[in-house]
Amino acid sequence: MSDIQISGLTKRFGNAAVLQELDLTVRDGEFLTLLGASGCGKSTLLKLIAGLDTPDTGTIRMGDRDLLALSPSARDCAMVFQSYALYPHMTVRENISMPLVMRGLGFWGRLPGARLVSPGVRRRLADIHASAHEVARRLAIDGLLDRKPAHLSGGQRQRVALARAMVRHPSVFLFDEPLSNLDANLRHALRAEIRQLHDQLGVTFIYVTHDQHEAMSMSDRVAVMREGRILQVAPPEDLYMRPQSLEVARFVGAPRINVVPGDILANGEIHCLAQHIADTAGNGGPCRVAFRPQAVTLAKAPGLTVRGVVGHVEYAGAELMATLTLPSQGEACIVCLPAGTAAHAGAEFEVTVPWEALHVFDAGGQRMSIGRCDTLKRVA
Amino acid sequence: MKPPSPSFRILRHVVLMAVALVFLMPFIWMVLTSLKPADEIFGSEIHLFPTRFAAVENYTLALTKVPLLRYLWNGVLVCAGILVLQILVALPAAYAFAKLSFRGKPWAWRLVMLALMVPYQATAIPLYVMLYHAGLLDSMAALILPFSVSAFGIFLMRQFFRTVPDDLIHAARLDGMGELEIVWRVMLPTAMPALLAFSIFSVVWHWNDYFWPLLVINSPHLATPPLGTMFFRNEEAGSAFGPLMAGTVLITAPLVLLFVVAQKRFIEGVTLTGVKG
Amino acid sequence: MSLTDWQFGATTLNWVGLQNYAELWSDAVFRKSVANTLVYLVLVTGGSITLGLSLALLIESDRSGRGFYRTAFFMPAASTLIAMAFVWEFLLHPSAGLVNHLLQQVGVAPQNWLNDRHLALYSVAAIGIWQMSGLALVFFLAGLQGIPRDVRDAAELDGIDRPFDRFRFVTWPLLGPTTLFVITVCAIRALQVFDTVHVLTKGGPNKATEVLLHTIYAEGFSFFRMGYASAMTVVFIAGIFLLTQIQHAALERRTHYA
Repeated sequence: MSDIQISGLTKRFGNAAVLQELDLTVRDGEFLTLLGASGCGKSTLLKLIAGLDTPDTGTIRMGDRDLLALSPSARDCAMVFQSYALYPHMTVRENISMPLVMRGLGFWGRLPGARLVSPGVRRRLADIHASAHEVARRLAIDGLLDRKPAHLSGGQRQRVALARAMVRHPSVFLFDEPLSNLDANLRHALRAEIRQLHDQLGVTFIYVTHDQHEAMSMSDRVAVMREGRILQVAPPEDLYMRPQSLEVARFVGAPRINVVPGDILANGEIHCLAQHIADTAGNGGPCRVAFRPQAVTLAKAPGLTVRGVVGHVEYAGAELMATLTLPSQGEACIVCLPAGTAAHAGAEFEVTVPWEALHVFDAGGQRMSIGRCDTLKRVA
Repeated sequence: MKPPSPSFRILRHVVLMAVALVFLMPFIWMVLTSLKPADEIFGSEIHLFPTRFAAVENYTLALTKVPLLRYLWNGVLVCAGILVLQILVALPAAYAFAKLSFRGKPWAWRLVMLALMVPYQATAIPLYVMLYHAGLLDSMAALILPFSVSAFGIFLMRQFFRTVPDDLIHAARLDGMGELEIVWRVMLPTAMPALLAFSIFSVVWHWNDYFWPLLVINSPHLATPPLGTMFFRNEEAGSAFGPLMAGTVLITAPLVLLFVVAQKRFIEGVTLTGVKG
Repeated sequence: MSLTDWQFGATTLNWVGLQNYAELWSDAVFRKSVANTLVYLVLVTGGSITLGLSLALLIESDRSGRGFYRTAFFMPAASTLIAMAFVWEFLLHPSAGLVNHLLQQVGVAPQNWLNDRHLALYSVAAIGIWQMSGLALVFFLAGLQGIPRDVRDAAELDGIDRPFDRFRFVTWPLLGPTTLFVITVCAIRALQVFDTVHVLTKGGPNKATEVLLHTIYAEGFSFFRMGYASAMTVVFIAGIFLLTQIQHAALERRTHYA
């Protein structure tokens, strides 16, 4: 077992490039999530790794093995599908056994009736069914082995699909939005279970989802994808705290990050909302300053002061979300305040964003490193 | 899935092409023969293409020997008549079955299902006797009336109407529409695809039908295209293949053209025939 | 009516009980007709399904030319059968027919396809297959498209990657309900064969192609023995009814695969 190295991967459907010159390294034994909106190419990437489709250019290697030269079943990858993809005409036991049957029995052994003729086949089938039973027990579906998929609930079907993947002990698990068809409660429970499974098995998991909560809560690292490219690969905290680009910043976190325009002076001072908020080593020009709704404080602190008229206020239990319309820009920001804060619609209100919580992006949308400046200094 | 290997792709085309040729051979041969003079058709050697074109003679003969155009026109009339009646009956009936409740509905529906199962050939004898007593044998009405109620049409439209949300109908009633108005102004537009498929099914079925016209029609001037071809062959004692093929080309052409133009709907329509059985 | 001796045009009508059925039972023509219909049914249903499924699998295995092939194979099913029967009559003509000419090219003796007692039924069945395969094909294509892509992908990962294995473990079982449905559809239509027989052989030679519907037609409308023909019709309906029941069961099962 070793890392999976993907480089220069391109896939087109007709004229549209679904993946463009994509590079990615998946570390051995990690839980990596591909996160992106639908159509960003994440599922295509997964299928290319599985071997269900072939790329136009690029390589996928696993250690010294060229995966592209191998058939899907020889790649040692197991996959769990959003639609479960169980064989409807087979029982749960047969579904789970299928990968082992295809590997363990030859052509003649698979013929119907071979079991009756050959004791060897009988013995091997018994072994296979024992493994299937063992896996089913681990996932608590051993009571369902004789049922057909049509008689199972969504959650049970997904467990069967999981069992079918586990039974062959693959070195890589691929998940294609496995929880999207389940209801919210079940989704929550299975999230934890899959993560637990990863820790027990210790093998590589590659997980595709469009749900950022899923991505953030389960993964070791998250790769954010957009339009066939990977924007950033990082652990969830990094992604949230230090997004490398405005696109990533906007994609991760809810409610969405607030963005206000700023300027960089020739001397490196960053000005925003008529305040000198930080310094940078970069050159002058326009920039964008972003902060998360949850990052604001009511206390005065070094950083950006945001003053505006309160619009819509939404109570959400322990906190409330208020819309602030900035008089100067006519832009609206969303801020997250402790419950009980006296913010009333139509009133003026002021919050502060500590300078550590500010993200500054250059004109190209790339993150800039900033330094602390002389605090609370107003610019005329 | 991965694209298949080049050698397989070529093999696939070779096999499919060969079979397609066999399937299309009768059509090709029909057209070619309709262009050939008699001596060439019966000559000991067979040429794929005619060496002397006799298209004009053959087609003229086909059109003058028997009133072929008349047959085609009959075919159009019969199909149109049947279709219009079927739709006029089936739409309100289907609406009633799908959305209204009335006494005896389960029984009436069972009757429809029964009619759906029995092929019309099975009812040919009683129908024939009934038409005889009504004095309608050998008339256009004999061709059209027995098919004016299509159990299949009612069944199909009902299945479609059931998918129309009740709220839409409630809204229409609140807007002051009467029940019949709802059928024409609300249900009909939503059921257009199904109706189109059914129309094609109906036209194909009745254009091609041979059994029933054979039973009830004796006068040549009332014959439908299939029956007309039969008259034509009897007239020619089955030997003048050139003109006969010209005739079959003319009779097959309308449906084949309809097929080529509206392929997808056409296949849908004819597949419905299968569902009906 | 099947219990009477009524003849069309006759003014008298006698109750004869089951006598018509008794006569049917001992009627050599009727027995021959039933036997022929069954042979025709088995040949045409089997042939159309084999051909239709093979062609559907082949068409579906790659992208190019799908539309063209579907059109080509469906053409016979879409055309006027009676007119095409004439074309076939000509193609199978003992001296001027294309089929015999082609066979002579490869050294096979010409046959009298439609007038040879041993061949006629098979010739008519071949035309039946030609006409019906397109319909079977279209149903199978729809069935194949109904197989979820994910299941095929999953099968490939499980090691089901050779065409034969894929057919055996995935395609064929998943097509099961479609197949049952196509079988009954084809069988019901085969039972109704009339046009080709009436045009090409009139049930001959020597009743070799006498089929049920044609016998009913001959008895009822050529000999005007309506009572007797009605009795045959009852048998005919029984056959159709049986097949329809099977078909309904198939349709029910088709919906079970969610």
